[in-house]
Amino acid sequence: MQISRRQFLGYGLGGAAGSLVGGLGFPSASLAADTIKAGVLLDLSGPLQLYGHVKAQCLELATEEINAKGGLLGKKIELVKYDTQSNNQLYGQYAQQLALKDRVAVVHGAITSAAREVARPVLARAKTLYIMNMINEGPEGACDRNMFTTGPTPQQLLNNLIPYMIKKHGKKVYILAADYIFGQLSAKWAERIAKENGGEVVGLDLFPMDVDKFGSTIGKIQAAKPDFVFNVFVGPAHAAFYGQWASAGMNKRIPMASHTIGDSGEQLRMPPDVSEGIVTVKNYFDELDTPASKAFIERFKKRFDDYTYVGSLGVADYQGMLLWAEAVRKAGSVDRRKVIEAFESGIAIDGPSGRLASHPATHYCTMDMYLAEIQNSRFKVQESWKQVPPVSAGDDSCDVLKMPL
Amino acid sequence: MDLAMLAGIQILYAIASLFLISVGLAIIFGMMGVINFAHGEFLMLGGFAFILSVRAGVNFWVAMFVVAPLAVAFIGVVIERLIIRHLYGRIVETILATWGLSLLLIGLASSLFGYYQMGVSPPLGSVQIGAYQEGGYTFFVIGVAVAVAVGLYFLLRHTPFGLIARGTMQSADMASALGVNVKRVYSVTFGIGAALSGLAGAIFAPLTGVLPISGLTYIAKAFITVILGGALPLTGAALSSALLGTVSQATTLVSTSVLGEVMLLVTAIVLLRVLPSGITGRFFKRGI
Repeated sequence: MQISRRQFLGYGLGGAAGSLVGGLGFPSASLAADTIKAGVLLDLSGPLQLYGHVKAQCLELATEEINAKGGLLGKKIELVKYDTQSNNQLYGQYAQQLALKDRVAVVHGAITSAAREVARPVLARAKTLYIMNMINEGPEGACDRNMFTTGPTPQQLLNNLIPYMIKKHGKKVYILAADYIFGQLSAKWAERIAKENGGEVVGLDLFPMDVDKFGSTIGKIQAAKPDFVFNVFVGPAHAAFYGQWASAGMNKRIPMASHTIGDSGEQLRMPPDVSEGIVTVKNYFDELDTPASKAFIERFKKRFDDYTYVGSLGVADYQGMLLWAEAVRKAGSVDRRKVIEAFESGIAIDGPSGRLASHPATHYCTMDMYLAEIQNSRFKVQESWKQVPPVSAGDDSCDVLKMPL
Repeated sequence: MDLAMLAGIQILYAIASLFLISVGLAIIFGMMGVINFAHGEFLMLGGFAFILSVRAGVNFWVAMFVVAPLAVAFIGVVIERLIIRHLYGRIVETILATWGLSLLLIGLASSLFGYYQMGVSPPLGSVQIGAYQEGGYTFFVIGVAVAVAVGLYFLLRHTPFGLIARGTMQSADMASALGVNVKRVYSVTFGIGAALSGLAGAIFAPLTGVLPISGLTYIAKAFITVILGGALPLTGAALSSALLGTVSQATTLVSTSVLGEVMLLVTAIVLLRVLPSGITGRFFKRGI
């Protein structure tokens, strides 16, 4: 059969028009299908797999449990996962793909705040709901009506930790932090809270993520003679600090507090004489002695055979999925606007960490917090606080309700 | 006064660290003209060999001075036989092949050892300097760097092997004509370079822990040190470590570690503009 040029052009245009109509005709494929698609952006390879692996497992577990109980609005949730390979560039690419190609109802993901800042504008533009299941620098770093954060803020973590250390050890604090948005803002909060509680910051050092030699810093800390050291270390390179600190014998002389230690179960891997006595505050530890937590760890162990430690980062994903499902149930739809309004009407779930309630003005969450000390390579809870809000009372620097939906 | 002493020790330690992480690369590059992009992974493998054997119950010092260097030397010799040997004199192909090897080793380590490695704490307690405390391990690292430098000097200057190796380095064809088995010399030299990298990896493992990507934190600094050092492996590595270590650590002490890294790079760039063939390309030409 011979095809003339004119015929060929005709076929070609017809085909193109057909696919264009097809694309326009079904703008929300995920709504029409018999599953609800939820997108996942997590680093499952590269250095951040240290956190990403267990976080993805927690999303899977939550999804399977919701599906086993009959699903959401009568439909099963289907996870669409992309491995961002510890590469921030891929967050932009895959966020776009999830929003425009897979047309998911929600995206869970990002580990570092830097990665979040790549995905967040893309998802906002595509009007796709975004949930970040991480401890992060709080609404000061990202105040966004299209985003919910299910992990704790610096205020939730530090409003109790810093005063505890000041009361116990003295008012002079030396701060060490990772040199990017999360570390910088956390350090700023620590400084502010220390000053409010009569403390004094005698030194502040910031480190790029790949610094793993701290000899000169340890010298500087000794010269400044603080009563305690507070750190916001992030990632495997910074974890090297603790060994060098102990090698100089400083762990026996100057107490240490950190709200990032233990996020990947590193207290189990650090030699006990190095980790002993470090104090932290979090909303969850696997060691938590509550029925909800114990049952959760049992279910996790039964589902995955490579359990070592879930920690607060993993639990944030588990609870993030439950909280989103609760918002969808209340809204009666996965429509972005309705889900946001449901969240803003005030919803809550009971998870492994206790009660997790939405905080409408900031889109963060109110949760129970625990202060623990490492003893024999395990976290031992010393104090706890019920239902701590993400920002101090009267702090209205972030009000998403004033933003357009 | 105490603080000045502490600062001096920190500078010596920075020099020793740079020398240890770059000397294996310098030997392989200086003696054989091979640019080994998998150098960082040799360090990483040394670290894993050390940590895994300590956790398996091997004595700390045996693991560090025997197991790690031997394991990496063995891997190095095998790699030389399989890959490097076929690429002598072809710099670009060697870079490509060793870079691929580096990616392969990172991938293998990720799937075999993973990112959940247990730590080993550094021994030797701490030393009191006036009002300050410094890890005893810091002095140990400085000592090992000196011992490695002296040992290499002796090996290259005062042993028959050193003579043959230096001769081969100057003119492989002439050495071959005089009856030296050049391939064997290259193989042994590569093994020595790999063993030194393995030793360095083991020495830093208790301080920084080991991850499959650990090599990436070493590789850039090792290359800068070697290139600035120039043609002579031992003198070059020692001189450029001394220079870069002093500049970066002194900057770190008076400002921040970020500026310290910046100053290291600035110094290297400026010096390479003035001395394009490195320090030993211009001075100390008669050293080793």
